[in-house]
Amino acid sequence: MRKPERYRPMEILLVEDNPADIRLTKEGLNESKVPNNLHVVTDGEEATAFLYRKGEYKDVPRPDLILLDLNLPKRNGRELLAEIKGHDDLMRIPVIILTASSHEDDILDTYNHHANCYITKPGDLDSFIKVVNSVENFWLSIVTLPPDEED
Amino acid sequence: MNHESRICDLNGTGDVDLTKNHTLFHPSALRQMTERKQAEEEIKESGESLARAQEIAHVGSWELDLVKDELVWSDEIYRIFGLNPQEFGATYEAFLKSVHPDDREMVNKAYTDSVERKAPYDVVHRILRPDGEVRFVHEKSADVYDETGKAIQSVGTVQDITERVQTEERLKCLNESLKQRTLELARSNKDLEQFVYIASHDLQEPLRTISNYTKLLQRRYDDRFDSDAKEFMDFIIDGSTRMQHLIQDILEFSRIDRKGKGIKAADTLRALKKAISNLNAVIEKSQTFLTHDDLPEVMADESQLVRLFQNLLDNAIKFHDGEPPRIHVSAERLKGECLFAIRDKGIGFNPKYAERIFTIFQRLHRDEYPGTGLGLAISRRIVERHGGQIWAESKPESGSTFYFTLPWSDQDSGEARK
Repeated sequence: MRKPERYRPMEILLVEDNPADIRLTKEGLNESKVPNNLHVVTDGEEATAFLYRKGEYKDVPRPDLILLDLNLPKRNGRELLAEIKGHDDLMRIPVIILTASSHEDDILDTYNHHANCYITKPGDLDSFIKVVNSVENFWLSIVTLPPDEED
Repeated sequence: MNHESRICDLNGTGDVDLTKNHTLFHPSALRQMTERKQAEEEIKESGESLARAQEIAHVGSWELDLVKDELVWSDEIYRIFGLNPQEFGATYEAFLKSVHPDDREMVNKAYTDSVERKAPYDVVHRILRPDGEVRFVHEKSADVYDETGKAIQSVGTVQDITERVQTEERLKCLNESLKQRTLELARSNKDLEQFVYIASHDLQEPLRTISNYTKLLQRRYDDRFDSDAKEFMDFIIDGSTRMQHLIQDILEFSRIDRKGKGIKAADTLRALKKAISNLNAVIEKSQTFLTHDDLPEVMADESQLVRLFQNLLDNAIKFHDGEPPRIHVSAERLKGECLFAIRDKGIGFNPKYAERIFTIFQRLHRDEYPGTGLGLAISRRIVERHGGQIWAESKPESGSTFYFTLPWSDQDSGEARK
């Protein structure tokens, strides 16, 4: 049975190592109309632990949306994307690539690995905030996400 | 050949006369003797000049009598083979012995094949002199046949081509090292481009943080800032904006060759219109009056052609005082290429800087005319990537004209010829 509406806040996982961008993303989401919880991890290994609920992450919720930077310490975003999209269950979580790179190879490579969309971080503040708002509006309000897993 | 046979005839008759009858001097015999002497002189002379010619050309000649199995070498062959002239019995075996051991089988086969197939013998091989020196020779020969078609004689030449072969080898070596160096240069160029790309890319990230947070600061705390603080903020924002433009231009400059799309017949007019539309805001603000000729198709990467027009137009609009800018874009078909001119009536520049303005980071003006100093350098790089040229002419106060050439598109030149 499909639930027509979610009666819980949206869970967003931000995988980003740059504290300045983490803060800016928070600023953008603070203005959000959709109730949401932002979880932040700063490298690929931490992100894996979060998704598999390992160690300190054993009680975290399953994210509804992942915002993923590509250039991360330890396991980078490309490896993490490939793992998520190769996983039977995690593959259904939309992954939005949010990166400074506008390199064609990166764009092609991430779409080849089934990224749900690719966004180059805009250079100025207003555009950045606007992008975060648009992502939030589109993915949390407009699209219908897959139904919750029965835990 | 003819000489040789005449010697035989003369020797035949003459020898008989002289040995058999010393006292008898028949007038005709006397005349014959004088003629013979003359002929001998001539032959001696021509033989000497032939030998000299052979020595100069390093070409020796040989004759092999296939019936008697007798081989005759000219002196030059002995010299080429490093042997004392006429000291060494010339036989086919002696010849083979002079051939470099590694080439012996090939030479023997080539020669016997040529006799069998009645085909010319033409081979380059090494020889090994008695003193151990290895030299290169070029051999050619042809056979003489009797009435039944049987080969009775081989006549051939041996040319010492060691110097030529060595020069060729040296040339090959030089070519190889040139190729190697070109490869290395291309590699280091690529490395450099990659470095510039990564460096400018990575520089953007912290810069973005500076400008974003300064703006955030301004947005959230502006009412609490005094006029000094506001001025400082403006400097920070202005500086980081400029740096952003600089980095973007460096990125673009470094990617002209690497990221360029294919060069093909390009719609020049469409490129110009795209450039004008990109500059729409500047054109409106400055009330620029822009006219252009009919523009022919050229061989170009159209997106780079847009950028080229855009840079040159932007430049022409920027360097203006008071009056709205008036700019005309013209095109003229020349032999194989098209000459474009972008003429403005702006402030112009001192002609002594005509070359320098295309150099990276060279600017003639500072704050009154903003820019990164890369626009014209990017333009030049684009034109040069297409095999064209770019230059500018100007007098201060009377405007400037920027010229560039691009190769014709084949399609367009075809139409022009019709």
